[in-house]
Amino acid sequence: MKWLDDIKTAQSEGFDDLDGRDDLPGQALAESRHWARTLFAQGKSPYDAACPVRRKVHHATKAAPDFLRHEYEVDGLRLSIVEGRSFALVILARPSLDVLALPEDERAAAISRVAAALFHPVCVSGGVCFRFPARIEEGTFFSTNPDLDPRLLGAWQDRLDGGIHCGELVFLAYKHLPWMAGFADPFAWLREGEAIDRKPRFRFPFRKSGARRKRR
Amino acid sequence: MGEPSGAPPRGEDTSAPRPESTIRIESIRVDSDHGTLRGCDEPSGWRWSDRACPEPAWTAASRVPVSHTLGEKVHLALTLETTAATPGPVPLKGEGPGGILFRQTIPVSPGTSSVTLVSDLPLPRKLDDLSFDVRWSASESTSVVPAVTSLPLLITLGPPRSEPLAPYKEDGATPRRVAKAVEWAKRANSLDPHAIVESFLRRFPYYALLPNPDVPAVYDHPRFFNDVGGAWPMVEYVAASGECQAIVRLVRGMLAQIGAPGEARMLVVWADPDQGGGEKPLVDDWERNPRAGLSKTRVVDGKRLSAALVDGPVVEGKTYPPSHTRKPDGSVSPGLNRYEACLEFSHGGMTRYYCGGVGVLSSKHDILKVFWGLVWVEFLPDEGFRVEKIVRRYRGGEAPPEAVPGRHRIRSFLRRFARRVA
Repeated sequence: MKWLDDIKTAQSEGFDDLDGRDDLPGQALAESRHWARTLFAQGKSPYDAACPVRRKVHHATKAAPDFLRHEYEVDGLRLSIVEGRSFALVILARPSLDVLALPEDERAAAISRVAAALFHPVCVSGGVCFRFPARIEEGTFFSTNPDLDPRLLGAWQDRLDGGIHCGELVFLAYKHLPWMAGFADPFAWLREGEAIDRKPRFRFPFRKSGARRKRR
Repeated sequence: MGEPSGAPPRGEDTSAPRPESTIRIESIRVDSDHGTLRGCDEPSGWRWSDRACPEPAWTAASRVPVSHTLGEKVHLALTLETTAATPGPVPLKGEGPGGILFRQTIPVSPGTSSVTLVSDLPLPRKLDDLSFDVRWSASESTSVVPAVTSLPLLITLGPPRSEPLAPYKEDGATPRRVAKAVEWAKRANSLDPHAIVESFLRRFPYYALLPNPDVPAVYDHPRFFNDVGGAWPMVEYVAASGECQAIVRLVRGMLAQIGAPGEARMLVVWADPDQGGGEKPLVDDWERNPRAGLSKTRVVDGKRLSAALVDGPVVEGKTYPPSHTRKPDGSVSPGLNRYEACLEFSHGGMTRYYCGGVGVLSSKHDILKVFWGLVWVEFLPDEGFRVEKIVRRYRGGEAPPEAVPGRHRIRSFLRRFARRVA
């Protein structure tokens, strides 16, 4: 998976501790908070968790894009959320839930339970309906809607991915803006002054569109 | 809201004969008030409250805002407490703003009485938020106390909505909301709902797509999905704007405050390469189908291609950075879109479209012109894209015709020639 590879590269390059919010551009922080509210259930997001949250940052290099990492514990689950500009990867520490230690026929239900608890309840359509493969083991990946292109999602809840990576349960949610096709530059997320809000627009040379010209 | 313009009398004029009777105004009820305002007990927030504003509008201890239709006469019901030396008829006179007069001869006898008054003139035909100051007087031998009464009057097109229908209750009337809607609508210098909506939209030159750090998180910018007034707090953060749907909700809310007719909805407009070669605008109501938009992919020669509406010029076969990447020269790269969001406002058989930053349009067909064209792209691992095919250009002419094989060139030339002659 491209996103996992990017995170692995960033980890090898190192994350820096984020001491204060001043270390992040205001726009990136506002976006992060916005998506946290959008994706996660009340009390489960890294911005409203009851326990302290440790934050780390990876500024883009040539090899890996910008990342923000939140580490915290909520309802007995030790979470690490690696957030890029276009996705949020949620990693459950193995001691919190060792899926592979469960009997095979209980793994799917356990994964669904955790996903339903973590993510915004009204947003995960019809509960979390992962299409699980016959066996869930190391390296297994699954999705609620694998046929849908993450770059063309009408809403983030149209596709939530998951998998078992290095023995840990991971979820991947796409921070896709519904008006956009594709994603914004992942290497420019934590750049000061970066915003795709005021995109260039064609302005009509006239104020009101009139009747169509008659053909000669 | 405005302050009383009249000043109560200070001191006494000893040269004038001392009045023998006193009419004390105990309360004033505005009978021609709409009676739809709620939440007078929450003057500072934008939240709607289901508690109706108390009556009467004026007492010595309280002044409650009232809303009133423009161009209509004002009906007042006064409760009076009279101490009369000699019972008999007394001409009661009230001079209101703009030359409005209340005049009636009332029988005076000691004790409490009620009187109803109707203004001789209607209120002016304009939206306003004013202090309705009335200077009261009677005969030389009868004084009226207080000499001036003031109450906040919001003059609207029709009754503000008392029972909200919108999910975030932005359309429910409160004095603060009506006052703000009147303040904004006055700028239109017109009572035409289209002109009013246009003046509202002129404040939002673009639609915000991402959260702005200057707006408190509790308001949930740019969506404004919150329980502290929904889209209303946007009026305090106009520069930060909001999503198209939030602006639609605010416009609807404002129209409901001033009793203006008309329907506002959010449309998304896009094109599909497989429907009329991308010429036909496809339209959906975002509130009914929030997932509407262009979501088309196909596999060609093993490459997965996605259709997109591009907002700047592109060239077939060229590779571009991710949407709206800032280039070293300060310009930004072309961006790929799934749709354009527009506010549609209909009233009196006329429909207008307000799309982010492009002015007012009268036809859905013109909306596609906010895009440069419709393209098939291949997304690259760095989120950049390669333009595989330009399906249609909406600006600067049609898409270049497909390469014409040699044997068809003469026929093609003759066809173009014939078209030109025709």
